[in-house]
Amino acid sequence: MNVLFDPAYQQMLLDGLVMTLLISVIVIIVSNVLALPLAIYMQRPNGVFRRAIIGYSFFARAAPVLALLFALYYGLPRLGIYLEPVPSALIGLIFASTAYNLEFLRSGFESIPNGQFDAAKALGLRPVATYWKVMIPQAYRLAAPSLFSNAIQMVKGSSLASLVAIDELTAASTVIISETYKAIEVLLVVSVFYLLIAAVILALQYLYESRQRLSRR
Amino acid sequence: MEIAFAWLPRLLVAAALTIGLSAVVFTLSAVLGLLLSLIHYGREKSWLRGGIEAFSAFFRSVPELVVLFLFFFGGPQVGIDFGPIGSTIIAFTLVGIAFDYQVFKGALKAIAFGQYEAGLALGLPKRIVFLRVLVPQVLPLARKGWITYAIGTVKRMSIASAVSVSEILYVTKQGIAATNAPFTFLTLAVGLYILIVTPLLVFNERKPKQAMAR
Repeated sequence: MNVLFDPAYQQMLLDGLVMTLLISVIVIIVSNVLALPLAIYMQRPNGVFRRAIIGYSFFARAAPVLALLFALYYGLPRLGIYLEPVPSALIGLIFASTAYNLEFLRSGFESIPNGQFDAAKALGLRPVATYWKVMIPQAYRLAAPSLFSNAIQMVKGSSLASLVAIDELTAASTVIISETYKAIEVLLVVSVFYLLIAAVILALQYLYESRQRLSRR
Repeated sequence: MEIAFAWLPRLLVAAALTIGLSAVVFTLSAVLGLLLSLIHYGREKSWLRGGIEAFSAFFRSVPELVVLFLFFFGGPQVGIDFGPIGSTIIAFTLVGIAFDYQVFKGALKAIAFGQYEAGLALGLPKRIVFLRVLVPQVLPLARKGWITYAIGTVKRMSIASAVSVSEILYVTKQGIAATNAPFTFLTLAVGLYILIVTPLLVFNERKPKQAMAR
């Protein structure tokens, strides 16, 4: 157990944890921010970019995240684009998770009866207000469980960044393992960190859902 | 392009390995996940259920890569060498069980508990009630979530490249290192994944042939 009491290794794990949190938070926020306008756009029956969005969503969900990360990590320099590892990994992770959030929100919007939109129009609500006050709150309520569990998937996905030269939590553990051969101790501690992050997300989901329930009464 | 042709046979072998590993993991996690969901069926609270829930929460929250390392690096530490393939199968099956358990548990909730009680009241053995009454209803109900997860399994197999399992992405990485043509190889790799995944996606989108008997 000595390895876990070594301050140098403790510092490495903490630095890794901070990087994991940073990547996860950025990916979760940005992918949700990007997914909403795309999902709203997909509600138009014949938008010009519909096919492009459908194609993007299919590609992003069919390709493994790791392949996307490799494409950015090994591919971009070939095109003369030199990005730091962190932004490059962020782009890959955001590219993948936006597609999932988009699909969850899209099916959320599609489960709302069409009549509500017409009713809002009949009441004189402008489209922006209709979306803001009527459609979006309902779409989120329907999509929330999927969006929250996708957030946990994004935290897990951030571990793949360790394979493209980012010193996050999983990468820190492999460095320590290669120096100490204490794989089980180190990986269990790392697992506990990931469990705690997932627990926080689950707690937020619980909070959101219980507030939703109160507001419906 | 010539490079791609030269590497195509190796990539196809890698694709076969990806399919094979995914099939093993898919089958094991479906069978074991289904079995776990039937344990203590109908009981609201039991210590066994609590244990299964904790197991499921752990393997759904920890990244696959960490679970994989736990067996790949942790095995030798306690004197068991699982090897790359063995660690991959064990790690991904455990994660798969954790997810499939949740899917089947959810589907089981959609079936009235009375069916189980009625079966027992008719004098059917428990095993028959499970096999002939509950399971045939659970499978179609669970199909969507279950196949969605299976599609993910194929893609997640790419993570095994981290422990040098020569599946698609590992061979792709070797190809990139040898030829410095990242886009050719990654296009081929993603193409192969899409080829493997698309039939599953189409199957999953298809509507069930007949309405469920209630």
